[in-house]
This record gives sequence, structure tokens and C-alpha cells, in this order.
Amino acid sequence: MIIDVHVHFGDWFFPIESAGVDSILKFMKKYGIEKSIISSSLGVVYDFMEGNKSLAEAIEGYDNLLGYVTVNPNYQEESLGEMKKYLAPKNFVGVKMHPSYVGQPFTSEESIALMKTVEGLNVPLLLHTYGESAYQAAEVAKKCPNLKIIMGHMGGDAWKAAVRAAEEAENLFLEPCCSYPESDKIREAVDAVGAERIVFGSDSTLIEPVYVLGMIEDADISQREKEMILYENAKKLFKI
Amino acid sequence: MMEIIDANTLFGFWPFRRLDMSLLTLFDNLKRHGIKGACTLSAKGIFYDFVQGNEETLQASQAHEWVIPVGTVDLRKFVGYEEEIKRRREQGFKLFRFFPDYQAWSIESILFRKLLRALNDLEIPFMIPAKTFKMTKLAEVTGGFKPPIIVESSHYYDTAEILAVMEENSNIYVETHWLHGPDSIETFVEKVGVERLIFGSSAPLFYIAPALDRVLNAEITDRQKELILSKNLLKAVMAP
Repeated sequence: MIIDVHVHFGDWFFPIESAGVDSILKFMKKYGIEKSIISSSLGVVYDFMEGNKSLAEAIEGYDNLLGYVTVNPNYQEESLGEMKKYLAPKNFVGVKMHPSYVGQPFTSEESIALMKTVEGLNVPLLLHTYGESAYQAAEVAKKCPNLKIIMGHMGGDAWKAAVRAAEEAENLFLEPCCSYPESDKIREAVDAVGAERIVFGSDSTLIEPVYVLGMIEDADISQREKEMILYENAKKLFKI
Repeated sequence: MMEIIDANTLFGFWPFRRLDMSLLTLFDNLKRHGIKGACTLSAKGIFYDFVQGNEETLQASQAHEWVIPVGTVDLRKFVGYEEEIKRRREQGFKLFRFFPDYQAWSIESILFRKLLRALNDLEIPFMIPAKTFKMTKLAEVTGGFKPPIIVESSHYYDTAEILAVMEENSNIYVETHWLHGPDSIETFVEKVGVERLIFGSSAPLFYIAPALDRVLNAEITDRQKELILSKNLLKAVMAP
């Protein structure tokens, strides 16, 4: 069984057609993914409120599709409003922040203020981490010690920095979906923080799930550790 | 069972992270995935000395039937490159690879133009990464070059441009390890034809399963998978 904690819904500015709920469901069936936790691509790259609305409409009625509320640190009040609107009554189970598209590094005062707000709501945060920013993740995580932060992409090309950050801050979780499936990254992450702080995400519909599943398949770790990464850890983390 | 040949592997030593790059480990890894042979070259030729590196590659191919030797030259050195290409061609090297990212040279330099002339005269195909320059520039620089050019590392950020360039340049092929988007392989098959896709994994730097499983799970026919996994490479590059 698999829970995919990093899925996108909606069109992209790339030649990718498979971006709707139908495609997500097709991949889930094909690869045995029980649940997908999804953010809106529209919300991530442009208008988070319009994106959250379209996502809520798209996943309504599906027990196996869950949502992230996308927030924007430039809009603190509105972000809080969105979280209140979707987290309690709807099938939204976490919050998504993507610094690249809002002109705010996650180390900025505004980003940290928003993270503290999320911390008070007791839901996990999926935070896009890629490149140099991974070096600052531990410092930021320590400012919000009760917030469970999933490092989306596990730092990307700076994955070693992400692993070191997670070693330093126990509220950091690693999620390794990435275009760079380096052949030692999963083993090294497990050695550093234990399998219990790694969760599976695919980055679908930017990346086909089988690509990241292949990383776990090939990783030099035990079957038990793979099960934890693919399913159990996310189930506990999101209480689903 | 389909024959699989990996067009993109390396062996030797990797200075950027601790990694087992031995031929033996590469072979075990390929075998575990049902891969019969691999185009490979010694990383010494990338980072230190191309003559020594090519010699290690030659020895590897003489010792192991599964090794398909790939040559390289480093344009930072330049001196002796033409003789080296000729010599290795006579020794059975049918493909060359170049690494401008690691060696910090430009495809716009006169060195690359001279190299292209030498390869064209000897009808030698080559593989080159696409991530450090735009494909349009590569197409311009290689205009008039007849043998196949295999573009490595086509990320979704580059997909549109690569497709457009391939539509106008029938000698440009794409290696598949970064065609990880949900429509990526299917789109290339539809737009430029399956004949110009060549499977590669970038092992041992990357896990093999992500790239291989992506092809095996693509929504194309088994015949098309067979072409991508070995036959296109054999026909376009390895044919006498």
C-alpha cells in the first residue's frame, strides 16, 4: 500500500496533458496508491485562493483524494482564512508552501510567521525545498518546534544538506521526489534520521509516480523500511 | 523478454560524493534489472585525462562482453583530440560523449566546431547533455552534422524546446532517463516518432528503476518499448 504525499492537480505551463483528477486516479490505480494528498498547481504558481477553491471542487466526494491548503506569506490574513475554510470541514489535511513562486524564501519573517500560524493548527506543512535553501531548514524548523515540516524534494540537488537539516531538527521529515534519483540518497537518509521520518511523494503530475517509486524500489534498505516510507509514516503523520 | 541496453552509464571514481562506481557493481546492478549491455566510459576521461580514460574503457570492453565502449575527449585540453578519436574509432568505439558542464567549455566555441567536423568526417555519433545550454543553440551549432546526436537529460523544463528542435532535425535523438513526466515518453513518441528515443539510466549516479520502470510502464506498445530499450540504439549508433 502507498500514500503519496506530494501530488499536484491542474494544468501546467509545460507540455503535460495528464494533470486532472482522472489522471491522478489512473496513476493511483496503476501503482496501488491508496491515497493522494494534493495541492493545486494554480494555487502554487499563481492565485492560492482560486487554486484552493478549484482543488476543493475537484476532490469533493473522493475518499482517496485529500488536499493541501496552499498559502502565500505575502497574504497572511487571507492564508489564515483559507486554512480555516478548508482544514476543518473539508478533506484537507495539510498546508503547502512553495517559496519559489511567491518571492519569499522560507527563511523570511513573513514565511516564518505563516509557519507559526500553521503550527497552531496542528497539521503538517509540505514545504518546497530545493537547492541552497535546504541548508536553512533546520534553523527554521527549530523556530516552529511543534510544526511537522515535510521537506518536499528533500532539498533536490542539495539533498545532503536536507538530510543534515533533518538530523538537526526532529520535526523535519524528508520527502525525496525529485528529478535527481541519486543512487545513494535513500540509504543515506535512512541511516541519518531513520525510515520513520521519510515519506513517499511522487510530484505527480510533474513526475510520473513510477519514477519515484523506482527510487524506493532500488534503494538498499529493508522491505520493512520501504513499507514505512511508502505508507505507514504518512498515515501516522497525517492521521489518516 | 525484451532486450535492454543502457545507453548512459559510467564507471571509475566519482569525486563529488562517496559512490561505488566499480564495473562489477555496475554489472550487478544492470543484471538485477535485466539489462544485457551498457554503453559506458571511465569517469577518468571526464575529470582527468581522456586518453587514460578511454584506455580504461577499452580494457573494460575487452574484459567484459557486456561493455559497449564509449569514448570522450576534453576540449579544455584539445591537443591530440583528433588522433584520439580516430584511434578509438579503429578500436571499435562507436559512440562518443562530451561533458561541457563538468569541463566548463561552451558548445559555441571554435573547439566544439572543430570537434564536430572531425566526428562528421568519421561518421561518429555523440551524446551530450542538454541542461547547460538551450537546444536551439545546439541545433544551430550542429547544423549540417550528419551522424546521430543523442541529447541526454531532457527535463520537463526543456521538453517543449527539444520537441521543436527534434521536429526540424532528424538526426537528433533523446536519451530517456529524465523523461519522467506523465506524458513525456508518449508525447515524444507521438510528435517525433519512437525511433528517436533511446533508453539510458545515468547509472550508477542514479538508480536504474526510475528510468527503466518509466519506459516499461509507458502507454505505448510493446514493440515501441523494445525499440526504445535497445533496438533504436543498435540501429542508429551501433550499426556498422
